Amino acid sequence: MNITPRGCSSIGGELACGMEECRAAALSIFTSYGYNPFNPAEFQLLEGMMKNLHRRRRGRVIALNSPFGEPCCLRADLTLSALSYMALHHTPDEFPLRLCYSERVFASPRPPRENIEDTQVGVELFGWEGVGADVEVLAVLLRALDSLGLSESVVVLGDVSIFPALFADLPGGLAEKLIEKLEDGAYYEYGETLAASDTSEERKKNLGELPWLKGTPEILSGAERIFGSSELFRPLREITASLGALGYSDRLMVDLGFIRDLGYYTGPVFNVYSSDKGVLLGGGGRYAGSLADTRFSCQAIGFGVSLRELALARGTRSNVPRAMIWAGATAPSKTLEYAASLAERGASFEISWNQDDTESKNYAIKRGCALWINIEGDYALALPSGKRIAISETGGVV
Amino acid sequence: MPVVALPTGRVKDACLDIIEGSGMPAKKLRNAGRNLVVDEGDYRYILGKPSDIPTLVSQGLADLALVGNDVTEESGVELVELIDTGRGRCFMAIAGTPAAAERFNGHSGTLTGLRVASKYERIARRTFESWGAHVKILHLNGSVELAPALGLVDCIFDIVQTGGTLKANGLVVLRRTAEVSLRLVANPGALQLRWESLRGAVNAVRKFVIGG
Repeated sequence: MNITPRGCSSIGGELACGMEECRAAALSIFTSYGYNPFNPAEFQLLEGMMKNLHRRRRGRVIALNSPFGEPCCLRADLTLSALSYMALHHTPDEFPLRLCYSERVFASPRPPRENIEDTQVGVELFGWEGVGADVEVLAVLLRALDSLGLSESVVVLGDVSIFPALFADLPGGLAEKLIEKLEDGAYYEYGETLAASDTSEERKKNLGELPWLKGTPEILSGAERIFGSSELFRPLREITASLGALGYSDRLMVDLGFIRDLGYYTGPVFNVYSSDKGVLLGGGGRYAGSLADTRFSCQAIGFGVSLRELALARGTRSNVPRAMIWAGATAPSKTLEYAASLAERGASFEISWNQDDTESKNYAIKRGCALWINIEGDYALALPSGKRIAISETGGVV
Repeated sequence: MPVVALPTGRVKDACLDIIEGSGMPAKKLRNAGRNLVVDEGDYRYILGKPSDIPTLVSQGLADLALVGNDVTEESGVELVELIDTGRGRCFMAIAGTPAAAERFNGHSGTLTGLRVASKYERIARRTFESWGAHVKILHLNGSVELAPALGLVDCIFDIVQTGGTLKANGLVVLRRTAEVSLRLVANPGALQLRWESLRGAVNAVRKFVIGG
């Protein structure tokens, strides 16, 4: 029987264990920085999503009607859920407000991917305009990645606020065209559009450089020279300097051609990769436009990273219990009492109710357990060697 | 080591000319025989079927690739298009018998209901949808030109190089829809993370293309 549709997956085994470890570790870091857990609704009202999502994401929402007949979509964006919750439950005098989550998001896949769902962990910080909020969110992200052993992960930073400034006063419609080309990753067409435009040769040359300004934060000096402005790149300067002072300088890159959902995002944006040769784990950025139709008038910043990609990047962990407790010759209450004492000590175990001790041992070997415990017999066997250990001599610890 | 994916088949020679002309090593690549992975100088080349190239790049197996924009568009994968090399030029077009031409001369409504054969199912669908026409697309992997003659479809949507195959099958171009050429494309992540190591190859191709 298969009840899982195409594009969805039921995850179990080592990957599920790995994802659970990542979820617990990440949420532990987030909550220690004051981010409050948030459990959003699975459905979102379609009208609000269509109004607030960027055009590139609108076409990917999975729309459906709720049983009450309301036009909805499966949760396509966690940030908007967090925002909506904040607007309904808090007031601006409580700013800054912090939320964290571990939830699924749904979207039509982009080829060659087929998955329509992904579980993400992330945070949202509302109501702080200073660069300190960007640094905090990025530092929390890097701390969480460190705690998962992903100490070679890399953050690539851009800033979408530079585009309206750099493209200001360009002749009719040119700015929109250039932004569209960059959003589509059409660097060649960006250059062609610029070359064919009615603007000065110097400006064409300078703007032509923009997509190619990528690399370590040192490229910001070059950008400042080309565009004659240090103010424009100040947020990125401050963010990279602050994170550098925290010891993350080797894990920061800058990409001035990086543009994501302009209009939705309004300031610094970032992608996070598992390493400099690794996979994309997720990303985030500063936004304000999406707050326009709430009673909040503030900036916010957040990120979401894929739990599955996190777990795969750090390598799957064994989900084999360390011990198999044989309950075949023991009363269930006594077995569970002993199991509780092991659980209190943090041991992982599984109970075998099989009446046949040989079958139980074989099952333990097949499962990969290190120990098979016979409570009634007061001993444990090391597997697969069969070496016998007396439980009473170890104070119940095996 | 930058990894560059290159298509086999019709455009392979054009790709090798670009690689060589850009000053990248290509001696072993020219004599690759049946080898599909060639390490030469500071580069690794991966040779693949044209339609697989976008997947190789998007999955991170290659940083860069030379591939026709018809193939990348059909794949729908997210890549960064860096340079139009101007090589391997052809165009995408709708072709059919001269009798079908009339339907392409009027309102888009006259196109609705057309049966169209193509191996570019995605682009064909998008093209007709952009004109507001609902058509039936029949996916064929090759010899698309045969389909109208056999009465299977009304027209085809395909790339046209010289027009010789169309002529041989009694077909004419009914509407030219897009220009096609070999493009240098990149994996978005590789571009963000490893631009320093890719810059040399990208600039060399750009210089060759402008100079050539």
